[in-house]
Amino acid sequence: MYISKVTLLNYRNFANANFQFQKGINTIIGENGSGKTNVFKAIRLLLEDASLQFAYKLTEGDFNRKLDKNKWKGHWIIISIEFDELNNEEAIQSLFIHGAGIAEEDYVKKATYNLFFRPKADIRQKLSELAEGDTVGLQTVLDDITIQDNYETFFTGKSTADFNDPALYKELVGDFENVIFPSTIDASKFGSKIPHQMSVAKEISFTFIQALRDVVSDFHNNRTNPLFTLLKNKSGEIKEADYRPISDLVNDLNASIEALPDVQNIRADIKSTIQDAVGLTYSPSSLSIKSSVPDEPEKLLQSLKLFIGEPGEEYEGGIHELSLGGANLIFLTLKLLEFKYRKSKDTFANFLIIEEPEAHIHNHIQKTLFDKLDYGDTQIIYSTHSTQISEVSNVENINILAKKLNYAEVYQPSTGLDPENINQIQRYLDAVRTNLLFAKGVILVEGDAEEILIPIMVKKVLGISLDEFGISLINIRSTGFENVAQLFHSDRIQRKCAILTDLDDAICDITEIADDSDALKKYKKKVAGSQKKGFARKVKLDAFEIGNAWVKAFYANYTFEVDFFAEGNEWEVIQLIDQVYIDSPTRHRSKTDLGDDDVAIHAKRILTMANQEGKGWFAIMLGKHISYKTVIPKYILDGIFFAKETYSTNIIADIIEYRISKNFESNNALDFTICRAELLKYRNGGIILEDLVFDIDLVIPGDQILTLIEKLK
Amino acid sequence: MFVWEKDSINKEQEDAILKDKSVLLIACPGSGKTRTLTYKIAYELSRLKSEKEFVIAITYTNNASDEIKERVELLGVDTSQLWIGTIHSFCMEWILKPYHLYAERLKNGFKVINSFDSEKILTELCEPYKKEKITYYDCGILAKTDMFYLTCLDVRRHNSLKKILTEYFTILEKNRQIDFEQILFYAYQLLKSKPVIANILCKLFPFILIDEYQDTKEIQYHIISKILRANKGASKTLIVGDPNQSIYDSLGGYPMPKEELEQLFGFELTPLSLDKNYRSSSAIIDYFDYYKTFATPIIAFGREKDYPSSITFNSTVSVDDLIEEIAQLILFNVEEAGISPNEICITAPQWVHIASITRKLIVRLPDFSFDGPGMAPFSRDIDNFWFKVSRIALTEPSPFMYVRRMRWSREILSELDAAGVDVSNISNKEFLKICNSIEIIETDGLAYLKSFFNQICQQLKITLTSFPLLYEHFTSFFASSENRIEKLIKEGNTFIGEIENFRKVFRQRDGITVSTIHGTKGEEYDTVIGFGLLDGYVPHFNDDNGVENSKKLLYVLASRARKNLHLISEKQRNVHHYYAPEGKPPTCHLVEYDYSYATLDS
Repeated sequence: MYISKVTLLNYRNFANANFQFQKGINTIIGENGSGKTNVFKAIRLLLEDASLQFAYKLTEGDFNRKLDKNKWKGHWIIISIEFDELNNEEAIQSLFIHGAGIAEEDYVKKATYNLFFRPKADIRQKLSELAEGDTVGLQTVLDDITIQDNYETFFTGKSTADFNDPALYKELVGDFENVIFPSTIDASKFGSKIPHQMSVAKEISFTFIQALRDVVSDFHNNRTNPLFTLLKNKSGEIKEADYRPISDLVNDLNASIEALPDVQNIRADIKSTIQDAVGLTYSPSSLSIKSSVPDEPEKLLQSLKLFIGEPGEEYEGGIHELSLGGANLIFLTLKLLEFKYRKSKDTFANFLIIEEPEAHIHNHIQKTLFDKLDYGDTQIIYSTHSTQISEVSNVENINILAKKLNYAEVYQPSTGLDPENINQIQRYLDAVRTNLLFAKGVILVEGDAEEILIPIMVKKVLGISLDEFGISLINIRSTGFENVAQLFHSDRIQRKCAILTDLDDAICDITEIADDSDALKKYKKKVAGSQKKGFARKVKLDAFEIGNAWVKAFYANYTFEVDFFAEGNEWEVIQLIDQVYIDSPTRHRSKTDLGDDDVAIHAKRILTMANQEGKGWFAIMLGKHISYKTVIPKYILDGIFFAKETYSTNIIADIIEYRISKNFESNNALDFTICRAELLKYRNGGIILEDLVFDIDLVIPGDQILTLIEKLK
Repeated sequence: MFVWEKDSINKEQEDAILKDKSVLLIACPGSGKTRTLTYKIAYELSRLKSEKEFVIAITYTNNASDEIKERVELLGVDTSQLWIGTIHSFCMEWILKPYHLYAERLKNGFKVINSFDSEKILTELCEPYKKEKITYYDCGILAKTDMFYLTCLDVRRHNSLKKILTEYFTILEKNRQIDFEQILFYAYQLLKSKPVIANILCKLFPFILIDEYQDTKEIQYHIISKILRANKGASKTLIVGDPNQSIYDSLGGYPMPKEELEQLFGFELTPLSLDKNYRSSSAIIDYFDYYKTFATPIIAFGREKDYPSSITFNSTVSVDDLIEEIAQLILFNVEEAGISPNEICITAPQWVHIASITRKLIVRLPDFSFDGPGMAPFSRDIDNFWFKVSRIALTEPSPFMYVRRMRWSREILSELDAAGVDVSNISNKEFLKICNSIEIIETDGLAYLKSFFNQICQQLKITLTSFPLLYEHFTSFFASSENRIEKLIKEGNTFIGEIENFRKVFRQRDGITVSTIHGTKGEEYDTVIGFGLLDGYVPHFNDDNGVENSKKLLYVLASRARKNLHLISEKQRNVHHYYAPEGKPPTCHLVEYDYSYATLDS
C-alpha cells in the first residue's frame, strides 16, 4: 500500500491543493515558504501517532489565509489521504480496510482517510435550517462561532469524493454565497466515520525525519536522541538470563563504591556534624551514602554513547567532536534504523517522510543514499529545495509547490503525458536542467551563444540577473524544445515558458541565376535549406502553442547573432574584427561588410566570423564588450517579459536607477536630479510609471529603459 | 495462554473449550453453560495472534453480554479485543456503521427508532383500521433474507397490515430512521450486495460465539454464515444452546439443525454436549424431562441432587384465591423449607398477569419485598440513550459499582460520539465525575431525572434540540415513563413516582422475583412458582405450533427450579358462559402428564 494522493483544503497555506504520489521515492520541490513543512504536518496529523493529539487542537491559524479576518467561520479544513494497492486478502490489512477501504463489489484496492475540522452538529443544523439567500441569518449564525466552542475534529474513511472539486465542497460544507447548506452528508461520497476499533497510526509504520540544523544538541537531548529511542526499544527484549551477570556486576560495583574508606568517612562526618548541630533528638535515625549506578537495563543502556571516527581519521570521538556533516549522517542513519525496527512490527505499510535531506548531509552522500534506500514496501516522501537531489527522482514522482499570495499551488509535471513523453523529459532533466523545476519562469534557448550572451546582456543592461528575476535559462542544445516545454501546461507545471529560437529567414536572394558560381549556388542552397527548416519549425511550434497559454515561442528573424547586430549593436561586433582576423585586408573588408546596410552582406560576414571562431567562443568574446549601451534584441526582451509577467515596483525602480547611474557615469553632464526625486516618489507609491517616463524622456531620450517601461505598462 | 485451575470445570466443558474445530454445543439446563462460555472466550482471547483480531460473542440480551463480559474480566483476561453484544448491536457496530454508505437508504445517515416511538407511529397508523380490530400488536414483522414478513397469524388482516407497514416504512425513511428488524435486513443486504464486506470481517474474527442459538432467527443465521463462510472454515465458531428451550418461535427463533448449519457455513460442526445438570434435584430433572421436544440426555450432578423436592400442581384454586395460594406457597418455602426469599421466583406467561399480582402480593405480604419488571417506574428501554444515563443518575458512587458505572459511562460517551457530539476531550472518568458532582434535591423521580439530564447537557454544552437522536430519545423517555407511572398509580401504587422507587430499579436484586416465563430465561431459583398455566396463554391462543411451543415453555419454567416447583392453573379466568364456564382450562400437557404431585399441608 502506498499514499497515492493528499488533498488539502483551507489548511494553512493551501486553499485547495492536491499532491500525487507514486510507489517508492517521491519528491516535493518548493522554494522556502511554499509550504513543504505544512504538507508534512498535514500528513502527520493523520498518520503519526504522536501527532494525533494535535489534530484535536487545530486553531484559527490553521485556516488558510484567504479565510482570515473571521472569514473562516463556518468553513471546514479538510485533509484527505488516498491509499492505493490495498489487498483485502491479507489479514494484516483487514482492520485498516474495515475502517478506510473503498469496497468494490468483491475487492478493495483503494482507501481514503480524511480529517474534517468542521463546525459541530448544532451549528451545522442551524446553517441547514437557513432559508436560501438569507445572508443576514447566515451572518448571525457565523458571528457567534468560536473555534473553542463550536469546532470539532472528525475522521472518516472510504470516501470517494474528489475534495478538490469546488462543487463538491459546496455539497458537503455549503454554499456561503447563496446560503444553501446541506442537512445531511452523503456518506457514499464523503465517507463514514472511522470505527473506534481502528487507529490508523497503529496500522502502519510512519517515521518522520525533521529538517535539522542542530543535530549535536539533538543528540544531547534525551527526548530527541535517536540512539536512546533505539536502545529503549531493545532494552525490553533483553533476556533475563543474559542480563543477570551484568546486574550482579552493577550491584557489586555499587557495594564497592559505598565501601570506599573515603565514602565511609564522609558518611560518619555528616552524621556527627548533624548531631553536633541539632542534637541527638532531632537527628535522622540513620543515614547512608548509596551508589546508584542503575541496574535496570533501560537506564543502564542509556548510559551508552556513540563514538565515531571520521572517514580517513584514526581518532574516534563523541558526537560533539564530529563535523556537522558527519553528525548529520549518523543522525539520519540512526533514524533510518529506528524506522527499520518499527517496520518489522505488526504493520503492513511503511512510510518514511524526510524533510529537506540536504539539511542533513552533503549532496553526494544524499544521492548515494537515495539510490540505495530500498526497503521494499516502503514509500518515501521527501521535500527539498536542492536541485541536486531532485534529479535523482523520477519526474513522475515529483510534486512542485508554487508560492502565491496567501496560498500555494501544487503541480505534477507529468500529468497526462504518455510514457514516451515522460521518458523524453526525464532525459533532459540532468543536474543543470532540473533548475527549471524551481524557477518562477523559464526560457529555453537552442544553443551556447544564447546561453552565454543572454544572461550577460540582462545583467549589464538591466542591472539585475536572470536568477534574481527567478527565470531559469535552459540550453536545449538543439531545437527539440517540445520535449521540455510540454512540462508547462495547465495540467502540469503552471509556469511560463518562453522559447527563443531562430526563424532562419534567408539573408540573401536565394533565387538561383544561371551564371552563379558553383560556390554561390551551394551557398544559396544552404541558405534556402535553413529558411525552409526554420519555417517548418515555426509551423510545428505554432501548433504546439495552440491551447497552451503557458508556452510561447519568440523568433529571431534571421539568427541570434544577426539579429543582435541588427538591433543596434554594431559596435560590439566590430570590436571583435581584430581578434578574429589577423591580416589587415580582411580586417578592412570585414569592417566594410559590417558597415553595409544590406543584410546579405553584413549578416554573411557576422556568420562567417562566428562560425570561424565557433558560436560559443564567439559569444564569449562578444560578452566582454557587452555594456549597458548594448541593446537587447526585441524578441529576447519579449521572451523575458513572457517568462516573468509581473514585476514589483522595487524591481522596476532598481532597473531605472541602474540605467540612470550608468548614463550618468558615462556623461556626468546629464542632470538626473528631478528623475531621482520622482523615482523615489515612484518607489513609495506616490506616482505612477507614466509620470516617471516623462522626466526620464527629458534627460535620456531614446534610452532602452523607455522601451522597457513601455512594455511594463 | 489462558489456563484455569484444575477442577474448576468438568471434562465435557473442557472438551468444548479446547476443541480446535467449530462446535455445535447442546447445553442442558444448569449445565454450567455460562461458565463454559466465559472460559471459552477467555481462552480464545488468549489465543489471538494479532492486535487486529477480535473475539465476537453474540448473546440474546444485553444483560447476558454484560454478565459474561464481567465474568471474563474477573478471570483477569484483557477484554479489549472482545466484542460481545446482541446480534442487533453486532450488525450496527460491525456492518451498518462502517458500511452504511453502500446502502442507498442509509448513506445519508440513519438512527435507530426506539420501541416507544415506533409503537406510537404504528398505533396512529392503525387508527383508520379500527373496524377490522387491527392494533399495534398485529403489526409484528419478521425480516427474512428476501423481504419482511408479517407475523400476524390472521391472514385476513394482511392486506390492511401491508398498507400500514408500507406507510410506517415511508415515515421511517423520511425521518432517516430504521427499526430493529430493518437493522438485520439491511445488514444482510449489505453482506449480500458487497461480498467483500464479509471477506474483510471474517479476517478480523478468528472466533465467533453464538449463544442461545435455539432463539436465533433465520436472517441472523444467514448474517453470521455470510461472514463465517467467507473465511472457508479458518474462522471458528461455537454455537451453543438448547433446542428444548426454544421459546421464541413466535418471533422467528428456532434451532437450525446441524446439517443445515453446516450447509450454510460451508464447513463441518463437531457436535458436543453438556449433559450434567448441576442445578436441580433429580426429582425436578425427572419432572421436566417429560417436556423435552428434543432427545438430549440430562444427568443430575449437582450438590442438591438428592434434595427432597416438593413439586405441586394446583388446578382447583379460583383466580380470586390466587393471591392467598401464592402467599401460602411463599410462606411454606420460607418458613418450612428454609428457602431465602431472594431465591424465590413467581412467574406467569404474560406480563399483564404479573404486573397486577406484584402489587397485591405487596399488600398481602408486607414483610417481603418484591422485584418485578412491572414495578419499574420508568421505561426500561435499554436502547434509549437517556435510560443509559439514568443508570448512572440513579446509582450512588461506591467501590462495588465503580467498574459497572465506568462501563456505563464509556457506553454513554460512545453513544454521544455516535450522535455527533464532540466528546473527544472527555474521559470516562471525567464524565463520571461530572455525574457525581450533580446535586439535585427533588423527591419526584421524573423531575429528578429531567433536571439531572439537563444539567449533564449544560455541563457538556449540548443543545438538545440540535441533536435529533438525543432529543427524540429524551422526549420518548419521558413520555413513555409518564404513561407508565400513570398506569401504575391507577393500579394502586400511589408512591411509585418517588425517587426512592426509581433508585430501586438499579439496586441489586432484592426480594422475591416476579417475572414472565420468557424473562426467567437463563436464571435459576431455589423455588419457582408458576401460575396462569392455562390453555390460551400456554400456548398462546393463536399460535399454530402451540402444542410444541407450550411444552418448551413448561420445560424452561420447570428447569429454572433447584429445589421446589409449584404450578398453578387457576380456575375462573376469562369465564365464557358457553365456551368456558369454569374459565380457561389448564394447559393440555399439565392435564396429560400423569405425575404424582406432592400435596402440601396448610
